[in-house]
Order: sequence, then C-alpha cells, then structure tokens
Amino acid sequence: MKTGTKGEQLNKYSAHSFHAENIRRKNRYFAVFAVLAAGFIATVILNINTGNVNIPVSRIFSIIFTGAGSDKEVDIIWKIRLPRILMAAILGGGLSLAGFLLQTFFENPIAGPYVLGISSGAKMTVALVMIYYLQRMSVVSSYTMILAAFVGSMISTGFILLVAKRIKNMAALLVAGIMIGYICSAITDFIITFASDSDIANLHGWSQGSFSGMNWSNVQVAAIVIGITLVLTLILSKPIGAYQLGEAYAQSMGVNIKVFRVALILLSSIFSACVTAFAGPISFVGIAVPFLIKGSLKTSKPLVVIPATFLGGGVFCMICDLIARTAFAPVELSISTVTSIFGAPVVIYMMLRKHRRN
Amino acid sequence: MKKNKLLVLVLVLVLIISSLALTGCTGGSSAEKTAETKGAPEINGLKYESAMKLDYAKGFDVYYYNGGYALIDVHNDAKYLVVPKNKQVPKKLDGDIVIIKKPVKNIYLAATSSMALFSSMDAMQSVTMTSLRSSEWTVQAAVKAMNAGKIVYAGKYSQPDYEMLLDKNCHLAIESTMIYHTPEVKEMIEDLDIPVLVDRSSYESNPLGRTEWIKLYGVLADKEKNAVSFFNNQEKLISQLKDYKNTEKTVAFFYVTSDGKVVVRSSNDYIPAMIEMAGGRYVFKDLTDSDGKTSIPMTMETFYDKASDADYIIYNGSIDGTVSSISDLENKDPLFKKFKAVKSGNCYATGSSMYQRTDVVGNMVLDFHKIFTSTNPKNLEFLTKLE
Amino acid sequence: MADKYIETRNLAVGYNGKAIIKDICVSIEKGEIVTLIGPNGAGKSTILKSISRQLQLIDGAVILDGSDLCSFSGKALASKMAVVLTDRIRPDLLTCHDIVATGRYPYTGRLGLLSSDDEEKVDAALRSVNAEELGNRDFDAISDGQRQRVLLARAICQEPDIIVLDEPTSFLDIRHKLELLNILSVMAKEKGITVIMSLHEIDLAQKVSDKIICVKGKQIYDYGTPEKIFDEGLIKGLYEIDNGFFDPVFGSIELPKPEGEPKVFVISSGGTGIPIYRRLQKEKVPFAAGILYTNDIDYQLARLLAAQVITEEPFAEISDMAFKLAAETISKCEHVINAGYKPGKINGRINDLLVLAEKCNKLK
Repeated sequence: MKTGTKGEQLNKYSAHSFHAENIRRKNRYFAVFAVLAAGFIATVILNINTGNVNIPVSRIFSIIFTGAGSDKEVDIIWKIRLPRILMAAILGGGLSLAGFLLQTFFENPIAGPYVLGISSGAKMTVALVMIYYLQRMSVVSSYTMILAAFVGSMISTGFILLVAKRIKNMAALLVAGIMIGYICSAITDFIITFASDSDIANLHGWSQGSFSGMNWSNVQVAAIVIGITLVLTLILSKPIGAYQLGEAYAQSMGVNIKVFRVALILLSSIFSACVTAFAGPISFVGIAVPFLIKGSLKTSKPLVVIPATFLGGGVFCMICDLIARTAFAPVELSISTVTSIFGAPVVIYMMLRKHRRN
Repeated sequence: MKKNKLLVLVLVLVLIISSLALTGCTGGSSAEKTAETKGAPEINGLKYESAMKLDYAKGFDVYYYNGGYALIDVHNDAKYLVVPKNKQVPKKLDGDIVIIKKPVKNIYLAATSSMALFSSMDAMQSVTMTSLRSSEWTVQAAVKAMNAGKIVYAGKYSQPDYEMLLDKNCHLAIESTMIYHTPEVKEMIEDLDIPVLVDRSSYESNPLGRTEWIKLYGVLADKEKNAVSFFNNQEKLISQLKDYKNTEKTVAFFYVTSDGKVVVRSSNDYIPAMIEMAGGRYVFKDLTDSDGKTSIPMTMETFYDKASDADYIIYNGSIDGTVSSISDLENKDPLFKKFKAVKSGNCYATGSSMYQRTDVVGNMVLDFHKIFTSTNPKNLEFLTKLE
Repeated sequence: MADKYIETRNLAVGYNGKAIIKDICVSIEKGEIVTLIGPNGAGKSTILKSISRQLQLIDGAVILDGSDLCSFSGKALASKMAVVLTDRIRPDLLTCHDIVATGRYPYTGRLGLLSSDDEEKVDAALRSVNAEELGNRDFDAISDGQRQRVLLARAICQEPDIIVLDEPTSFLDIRHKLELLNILSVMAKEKGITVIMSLHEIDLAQKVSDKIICVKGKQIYDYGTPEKIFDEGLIKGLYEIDNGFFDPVFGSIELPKPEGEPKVFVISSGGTGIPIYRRLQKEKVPFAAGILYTNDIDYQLARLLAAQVITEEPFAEISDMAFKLAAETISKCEHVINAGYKPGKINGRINDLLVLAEKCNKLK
C-alpha cells in the first residue's frame, strides 16, 4: 500500500499511528527488561553473598573469576551456592513459562502449571521409587529419583493428550486433569499404606519443594532441557499471538490448531516435569509471575512476554529461595511455603480484579 | 513439518535425560560389585595383618594392615581405608575405596543410634555437628555437649547445612540408613570431598550386634580399647543370663499408629532377640516381611487374634510416647481390655530413648529379665510399668 | 461468461459427519458480493465455516480459483481468504492495532515481527473502516459495533482475495451498517475482492449483493440474482412470514394490515396517503384507499396495508367502474379522509368523490 498524499505520510508518525504506538511500547519493554535484568544480577549477587558462612564480596569476585581462594571458600561458592542459585533461576523461569503456556491454552489467567495433574503424577512415581524400589535395591542414585519424577509427570501428560484428542471442550479437559490428579493421588495413598512413617515424612518433604543440594550436573541437565524448551516456546510465539483471538480466527490465519494445542500442553509439561523432577512441586510461581509480567509490560504479545516471564520467574524463585534458606537458618523452609506467601496475595488480587472487571 | 520437528526434539530430550539417569544408576550397581569381594582386599604397598574379631555384628568387617592402616568394609555399601596420622595414602588404590585420614575430627553425626556409642567410649570430642537439636537427644552426653556449644545443630539429615560442613572442616559424615531415601544429599556431601559412612547397625538382628558397631567407631575415633572394653561389659551382662532357663512367658512388643493400626517387630528383629535373651518369648514366632522390613503393621483384629494371650505387653514408647497408663492403652482401642496382660496388670512401656541407647543394650536386656522374673520389679532403668 | 472464481460442486455441509445441507452447487465470480439469507439455524454459518475450512466438508468439493479448497496449505489459504466471525473474543491487554496486526500473520516471518510496512498497512486498514482513532485503545474497552469494524479492518489487513463474513452487521447501528456494507462494496468493485457473507437484514442484502443464496432445509432453497430472488412470495416462503410483508420493490418490511371491513376511506395521490395509511395501521383501523393509479407511490403501500384498494390504469381517465366501486365503498365507510388529492387534468372525477363524501358528512 503506497502512502500517497503527504497527509498520509505524516500519519505514519502521528501519535495515533501503530508505528508510534510500537515505539512507545518498545520503550516500555526496554524499561521492564532493564529492571528485570538488573534485578536478576542483583539477586544473583545477593544470593552468592548470603549463606551461613560469611565470605566478603571482594573475595567472592576473585573466587568466581580467578578461582583463587581457600579450598573451603571456593567449594562453598562453586559447589554449594552457585549451582543452587542457577537452578533456582532456570527452574523458576521454566515453571513460570509452564504456567504461561497453560494460561494460553485455557485462555484463562488462573490456569497453573499443575492443573493437569502433573505434580500428582510425579509424586506417585517418586513414592513408588522411595517405597518399593528402595526396599529391593537399597542403593538408588539421585538421578533415579529425578527420572522417576519426570517420568511420572509425563505419564500424566500422556493421559491428558489422549483425552485432548477426543475432547475439545476446555472445561471438560480441566476436569480430566483434575481427575487424573485424583487418580494419581489415590495410587500414591495406596503405596503409602505400605510405607513406614519416615518414608511418609520424606515424601511429604519432597512434595513441598526444595532447591537444596543442587550440583553442577543438575544445572547442566536442567539448562539443556529448559533451554531447548524455551527456544521451542519462542518459536511458538507467533501462533500463540494468533490464538489470542480465539481458535477460529487462529485457524483462519493458517495455524494448525491440533498440532498447536498438543505443542502447548507438551512444552508446558516438559517445563513442569523438569522443575518437579529436580526440585519437587513449587506452587504459585506459574500463576503469579506471568500475571505480574503481563501487568508491567501492559501487553500480551508473546514474543515479549515469554522472555520477560522467564527472567521474572528466575528472579522470583531466587528471591524466594534466599528467604527459604536464611529466614530460620540452619533450618530451611520449603520453597513452596515462601512462594505461597508471596504468590497467593498476587493471585487473590488478580482474581478480584478480574471479577470486578466482569 | 512442525509436528515432526517437535516430536524429534522431545524424543532427543527424553534420550538425554534417560542416558544421564542410567549413568547415575550404574553408580549403584558398582557399589554392589565391591560387596562381592569378601575378605581382606589387596592394597598396594600394604601388608594385611589381621581381621577384627566380631562375635555378633554381621554388617561390617575391619581388616588391619601394617603401619596402623585399617580397612573398614561396610557390607553391601562401601569400603573405607583409615590412614594413620601423617602417613601416606597408598598409590594406585582401588577407586571404590574411600579415604579417611586420621585424626577424624568434626564428625557430622546424623545417625542417632551411634551417638550413644561415641559417648560410651568417651569419643565425644570427635563430633562437632549433628542432625538433631539438643531437645531431641536423650543421650545425656549429647545434650550436655550441645548446651556447652561443643556440638552444634547442622541441619537435619535430609537438608544439612553444607556450608557449615565445609566451614567447620568436616572430616566425616555418619548417616543413618534414612540417607538412602535422599540420595542427592549423600552425593552432595561426597561431592564436597567429605566421606560418608552409613550406619547399618539397624539391620543387625542381634542386639549385641548393634552394640558391636562401637568397635568400628572405635577405629575411627582412635578409641579402640575403650570400645572393646565397653562392649565386653555389655556382653557380660547378657551372658549372665545365658544359662538361665527361658520362662516361656510370651511378650508382645508394639505400638499403635494414629489411624488405629498396630505395628509389631518382625521375628528376626533385634528386639525379639533381646526378649529371648532376657528369658522371654516373643509372641510372634514366624512373623517376617518379604521385603525384610523390621516393623510390620497389622490390623487390631489380627493383633488381637494372635497376641491377646501374651503374658506381657511392652509398649514401644520410643515411637509413641502417649501411653503412660493402662487407661491410655485402653483409649487406643477398647479391645485391649480383653488382653491377658492387661487383665493381669503386666503392662510396661519403654522410654523414648530406646532407639538412641544402642550402647546399653545389656542393661536393657536385664530390665526385660527383671520384669519376666519378678512380679514387682524394682530399679527399672528403661521400662515403666503401666498402672 | 466470466470464469468461475469460486465453485461448489455438490457440496454437503454439517457436523460430525452428518450433513444438514446437501448438493450445494453455486458459482461465484471474482469481485462479486454474495449474501446468504435464510431463517435462523438454517445453516448459513455452517456453510460459511465450511467454505473457510473451519468445518470439514461432509461431501463434495469447493474449488477456489482453480484449486481444491482442501489442497491449500494453511498459510496459502490465509493469504487468499480472510474471515470475520460472530465469535466473541476477549483478548487481554491487546490494542486494536494489535488485533488488526494479526491480519499480517501470513506475511510475517518466523517470529511474527512486523515491519514498518506492515504497521502502515494496519493503519490503512483501520482508516478504511473509519476506526483509525480506535487504534491505541484496548480491544475489550470499546463497544460491540466498534469491535466489529476493527475485526473487519483485521480481515482487510490480511489482504485477501476473498472475505467471508458471518452476520457482520449484527451489532451495528444504521449508520455503521451502511458504512460497513459500503466498504465491502467498494472493496469488491474497486479491488476485486470477493465477498461472501450472511445477513439478517434482507433489505440490505437485496441492495448490496450481486448474488443471493437462500438457505433453508436440506438443500439450497434458491439461488440467483437479487432480482430473481427478491420476489415477495419467495421471501415469504423462505422465512415463513405470516405476520407481515416484504416489499421487494423498495426492499421494505411492513407489519401486517388491519383486518376487517374498511371503516375509513382515504383519498390521496403522490405519496400523501402514506402517512395516513401508517397511522391507520398502527391504530389497527381497516381502511380502503382509492382511487389510485397503479403507478402512484401510494398504491405500492396501499396494496399491502389497505383492506381494499380501488385502482385505475396509469395515465387514464377515471373509469365509471372505478368510480362506482369507490362510491360504494365510501358509503360503507364511516369516514373519508382527503390526504392530499391533487386535481389534475385526468383525475378530475376524484373531486366528485370528495363532493359525495361531503354530502354524507363523512369528510375529514
């Protein structure tokens, strides 16, 4: 379309034009991202600096960048604090995106990453390993537990995908997710009847979530899995943008709805499964963070929201982990406790605002 | 096109994760491999001298080499080479053997049953961190040391304060078998170059076997003489009863869970063994669990069926401390009124320390003996009569 | 004969494998405006959804510009066809600009980034529906009518060759109805965009469409040009109107006439009678009208609303027969109203009727 008259040309830069609006938006995005990045760096620094052992900031820098320092201090920074911080950031980002993807799928901002029964599935397989497998094998590596949780999550997801093939109705799908959650819980309860009290306590502890004891191997695996899934999610940002107008319009613009819906569920599940596998179920992150990010960016455009949500989730989890491990040291709060304290008010506020709008 | 790409990527992800997990799993099986080689292993540069004499404990062996080196072999678990102070670590050592250098200081003790053993051989100074708070300890030496600040709380076994372990130069972490439920903690501690020893004494079926683990700890803490003499005393207490003719009185040992189930011990657990030693008979003769568990739950109905005629009831107060009178017992379930032991008034409860006091098993057996042999036993240390 | 741009061959549409309409055979030329009309639930939306590939065809085929509809890739179809639907969408935090910008979907790259060219097209699309000032506003903060225009802009922004609209005028006031149809008309004629839509306002459908498809029953009820379709009887049968009329001449809709023997006689000419007829109709007073020339405007309405009409051939003098009939009718009536009879050279005798009426004291 040619811009014919001079009047039309001027229009491009008028305050009402799309171009001008996008410029204004880009400024806003830039500001938000700058804040997030700064927050990220600040939180990382704060986290590295905090621990039961006091290591002055100056030494921290030399330890990280030159590796100089006493063995003990290097170990504390490199083997204990850094992996934990990075895991909190990576898993926090992944979980937030898991929530974002399901909110897109259900076209509802209250959908959380566990609404399709993933955490119940993971708990079920972890219970199986803890209670049955351990009796027979007696020695189990940590990766067996991690893999068990991941497999359990994907089993739930598999059932959901099977159901989604037949049922298009969103509400029905939600009910199916809840049902699968209940079934897995029932199986878990069955397994627990044969468990000792200590097993039960352990299982409960697992289901509260924790970033304690993360090592570099964990960081590597999580980074790869979540990194790949993040890239795939970004690739999905165009169809997600189309889907925001509803299924019919998205389809008319060429989005393959069947594949798209499966992709949403699958990617969300991989994120949630990975987080649950390494750190156990963590509540509220998946609902609160996307909401806060969208609110500060004042847009739903996926290409912007996705990276911002990831960053925001990382910052949120790192802060919560910091509080979890320092509030009552050396006792650690479970991460879900802290995320609930911060996340629940956000979610309540969000629900009230939605209600008032309607 | 998009669909296929996605599926391929997902499959790749799953493959990566599975392969990582499998490499992790092989860590477990290699540990089993070392278990196969029984007997003193060959150590480069060291000559094997003798093996520790163990009469009751089946869960470990200690092999002595020249120069004061000792190899602790925890069966089905790991091997530890204890290297004397200022001596060299042998070269070309088998990769599975964990090095522990003496003097072993700043032990993180997360196996509650071994604290009493350390206290009995006067080795408390080797321990500076533990996984229970002072209020949770019944071993008096531990409480005293914690109150004096000599031992600090370093986080529970499933969430230890790793920074503190490093900061305080922990030389050894002694964990209970619960650590198997949280393998990532064990791996993390080992990752920090701190050796982990799992106390498997709870798998011993003979109560003296449990106590004999004090000899293992004696090697670590350089208190072998103390350990051996303490153990011998305990053994003597029990051997007093060796020739005593069994009273054939039946004893039921159990506790009731919050949802009304009764948890008893398997017939080859150490508690029935203690009862036998003390001159009684455990009421369940052939009760075993296919998975080897020592605690077996059953419904009240089954328990009533099998144990209502037991002459004595001993309530496991170390797990459930709410029973201090016969009416407390009856409140758990009115069926108890019909039990012979309740009707005749021969009901006792153990104190909360029973699990932690692995050291004084001999004294405990004597307590049992007292209640089997006199109607009004006096000076009971570990049991209280329920009135 | 123009090449058939869109053709349906024995198309059958429906849900879940069951056809509700079969054997649809229509052909549409490029740049035509085709409107589906028919009663509620007849299947107009079903047909539109099938053509836009939102529903699977039950049977038959749709040929678009020479290729089978099913052979198009999603992207190819999207650049050829755009839709405006009745679905309510409530997107969060999206401005109207964003909504319209989704129309660029088939033309943007992997990540959907918009070039400045795309941005201009968005502005232009909004301009063409006179909604430029809505651009910055949140989509869910504007009125239904405004939303409809924005959605049309979105479709325009998609630069399609075909636009499919499902009842696009439903929420619009009269001004915007006209505006929208005008825009569609301009697009069709000046840019050659084929428009396929469904409308409830049959009067508008008659005026804007090149072809009409009547949807009712298991097969297409009828299909053809508005001239052919907009016959009073056909419309009446299509919609089963038993409580009014549709006048295809002006495309107007009338409420039913008052029943009974005429009580009032209206004398008028040249459109003066029309307000009187309407008033009498509202007051449910049956009336007679005359003497009207059949080319008089009054006649058009009187024949629908009056209980009895006395007519005369155009450009002829009032005949005796007509006069006599009128006089008889006047005698039966209670009142006579002179709505504005204009005496001329030919119709002088109507004056006599007036005189007659005055004599009977019935004149008002």
